[in-house]
Amino acid sequence: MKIAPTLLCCISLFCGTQAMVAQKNNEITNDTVPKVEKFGLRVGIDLAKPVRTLIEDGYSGFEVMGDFRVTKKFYAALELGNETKDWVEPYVSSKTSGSYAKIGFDYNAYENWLGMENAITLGLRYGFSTFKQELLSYRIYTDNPAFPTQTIYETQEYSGLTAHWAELIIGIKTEILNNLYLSINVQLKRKITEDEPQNFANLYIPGFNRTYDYSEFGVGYGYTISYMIPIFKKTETTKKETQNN
Amino acid sequence: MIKRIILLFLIIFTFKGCTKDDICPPDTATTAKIVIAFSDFANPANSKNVNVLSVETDYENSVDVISFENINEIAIPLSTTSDSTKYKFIRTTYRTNDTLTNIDKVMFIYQRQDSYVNRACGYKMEYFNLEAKVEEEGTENWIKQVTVIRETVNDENSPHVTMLH
Repeated sequence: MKIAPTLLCCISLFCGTQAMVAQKNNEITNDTVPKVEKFGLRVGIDLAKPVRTLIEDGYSGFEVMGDFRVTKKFYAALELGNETKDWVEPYVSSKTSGSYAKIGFDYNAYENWLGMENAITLGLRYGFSTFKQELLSYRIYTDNPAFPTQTIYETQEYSGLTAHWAELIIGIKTEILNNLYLSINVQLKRKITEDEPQNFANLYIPGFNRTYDYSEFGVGYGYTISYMIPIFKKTETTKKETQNN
Repeated sequence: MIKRIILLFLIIFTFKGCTKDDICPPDTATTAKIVIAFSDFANPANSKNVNVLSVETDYENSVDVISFENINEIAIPLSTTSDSTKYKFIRTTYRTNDTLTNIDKVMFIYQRQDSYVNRACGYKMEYFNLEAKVEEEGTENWIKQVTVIRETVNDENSPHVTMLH
């Protein structure tokens, strides 16, 4: 596993030295190439959700995201989205629709090579959703065949529901073209509070995805394409080192 | 570090696949049956077994619900679609020469309310203001008296109705 990066490192070191040698003739000694760090606003959309809207029955959704590099390693991050989802179980079926916002930060745990802008991010989010839920049909559960039950189709709407959760998001970002990024992420969520509809439960929460009866956790994923609008560039000068030489 | 986190996620995703959310576990408290205790008419504090008892619904297409020998407590379902349930309580007595069957008709009257259980089990029915009536047959009744102890049927922990015989 570790051979490939080591090799690449050696190659880049070799190239670097070559460059240095070449520069020696007409320039003042400068043994490190200045590292340019781009700062700016990155905006994007989650590709997975429109694709699911097209191919999956009973689902529609979209999500826009944005992040802003605050420091070398930290990005302030925001996701806004809207989802409608039919949830069908043998004894209950519901339709949930609503919007959500997730706000937090990403930490880039990946040390880039010179001039590269890739990232392995660890992030935390606070998620908030307002939604409505419709109970489409339900059945009375009975384990006795003497009185068989039938599915009752009486739509009941529960609106003005909210839910709050905390989210751990792990992603990998790759710069595929200049300033254009493709990223994939997985999300682990934990519900903090939610409005439970009376005599029903939230089977699905926009942004949180499906809920579980016996657990407060939820999971999710995203596949995002984003563009970075460079606002300013910061050159990491290595003056001290040059002075030492 | 990253690898460990990714591994952790994979484990979570794997186990999230099949949780007990997907099937209704048999031990879940869903629609409760009505629990009937049989006691001695001469001494209501003492429970008294019914030697051979079978219970069937009292409708056009009657369904056998249970049949038991020497039992002093039974649990039978109530209709989830109607505010009353009619039953035939059939006691069979074996004599040396012949067999005697005594059919008593019992009707349970109540109010119903749906109550959400969970995503796998859906809803259960809760019954309120329970009343029990035995069709009067004079001396032919083997059930002498019916008393409702608990008017709300949403668990099967203790008898809702006592029948004296």
